[in-house]
Amino acid sequence: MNIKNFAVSIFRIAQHFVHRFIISKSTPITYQISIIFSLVFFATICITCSSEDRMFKEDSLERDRLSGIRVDGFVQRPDFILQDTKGNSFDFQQETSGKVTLLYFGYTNCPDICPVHFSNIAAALDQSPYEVRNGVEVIFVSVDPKRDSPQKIREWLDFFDTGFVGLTGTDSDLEIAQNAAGTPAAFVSEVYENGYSIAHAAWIFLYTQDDSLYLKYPTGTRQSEWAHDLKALVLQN
Amino acid sequence: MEVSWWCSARPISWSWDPQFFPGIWIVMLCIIGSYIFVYIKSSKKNSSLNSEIATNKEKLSFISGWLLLWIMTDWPIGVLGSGYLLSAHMLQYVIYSLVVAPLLVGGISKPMISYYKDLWIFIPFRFLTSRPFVCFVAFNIVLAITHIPYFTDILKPLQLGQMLIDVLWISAAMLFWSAIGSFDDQSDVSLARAQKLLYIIGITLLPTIPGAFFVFSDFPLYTTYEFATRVFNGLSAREDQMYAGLIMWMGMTPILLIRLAMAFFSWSESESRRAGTID
Repeated sequence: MNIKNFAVSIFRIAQHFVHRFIISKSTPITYQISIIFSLVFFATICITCSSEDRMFKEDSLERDRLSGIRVDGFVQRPDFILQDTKGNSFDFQQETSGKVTLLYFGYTNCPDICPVHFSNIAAALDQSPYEVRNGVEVIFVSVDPKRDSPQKIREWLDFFDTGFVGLTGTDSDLEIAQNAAGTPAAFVSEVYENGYSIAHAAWIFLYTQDDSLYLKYPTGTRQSEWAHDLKALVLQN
Repeated sequence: MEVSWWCSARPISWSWDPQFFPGIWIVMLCIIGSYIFVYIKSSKKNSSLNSEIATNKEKLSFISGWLLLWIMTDWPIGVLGSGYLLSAHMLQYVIYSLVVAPLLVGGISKPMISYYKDLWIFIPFRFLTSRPFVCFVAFNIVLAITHIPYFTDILKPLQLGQMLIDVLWISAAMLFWSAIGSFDDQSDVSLARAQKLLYIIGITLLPTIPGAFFVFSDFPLYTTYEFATRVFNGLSAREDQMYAGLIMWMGMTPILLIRLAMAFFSWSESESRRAGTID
């Protein structure tokens, strides 16, 4: 049997099945309509199931269902002093103590990870209740002091949320801050004709109200996951 | 200069620098090449008769459908739709399904089909297009499957995956629009036109389901678009998804309403004629 005959045979069997059970003129119209609605129902279920996990998380605010990676042991909120976007000194430990705090080291010229992280956090907070929005402090530390002036950092952060705090400092201050947070210092990774890119930690560190490092969030944390986790951590203190 | 076979979602920043996709060019050339080949072959077979194998209107319809297909598949819309903006993805779907497919189908004349319809390779096509119900179901299954986040997020980063989505969309839409012609084979013209009307009404209702998911969801449904770098400042992934839902609703509705109006007036005319005959 060649391929052509085989294909025709298979096709005829399928044709018979479809004709007999679906489209035969003797098939009642109600049966055909019920098939259409079954298919629509099936498609709806498929779409719903694919986001079931997220919906479940949104409904159950439990700390054991948090999306971030839990840090073993007690790691204290780091102690470092940098400059905020108004030019004032900002003592991280003192200013953020007792609050759920997200700490991130990045730079405003970052083409992908930094803007996506901040866009997702801002969107998640935007969808959260007032108590959650008010109970979370988001701190961005620029590790590119040459290009990121306080004003530039402010403009960049305002694009996402005017409540986000931007910090910068000298190279040595930034290194101290990164070491205090337990992350390797950022460095220039590639130099281009019109600039350079910086290799930096892609984690966002989350400190809880008891001033400990509780979770680390990698690149790829979804808006729905941020919304769930921040709500759980702020409201179920 | 970036060269890839087909558009796909990639973890790099969006750039307006042109990108080249030889795979798309080859497929587009194959489509127009096949049309010209069939046209020439049919013309030769038809040389004994003095009639044109395809009217200028049909040729124009096919060429405009083909050009629009190319525009929607290639850079920049194809690239935006494959990995950056869900609204661009939805625009592609709407244009493929409601503009490109009917233009392509309308450009293939009956004499061109008649020469090749008996080839075994066209048997499944003949079978499907003579059964509008099956085409209706196929069109909606393709709509549902290609919009399930799980599948979309798996297929979009793959060049072959995105190619599969494009091929499925255009094939399902062409089947759908080809099947409309099969209503005309019935002896009762009025009944055929009424069925055609119902067929088009049916297709307007189902896309509102994924459209509603896009508009009313609190968070982005697709990781592909959620983690894509932003193309336009101020357009978040959530807003982009909402616009995609609106394109699904608003974009599809006017185009389908035009088709619906055409089908309705055609049906109403046949009803009037029949009433006149009876009177």
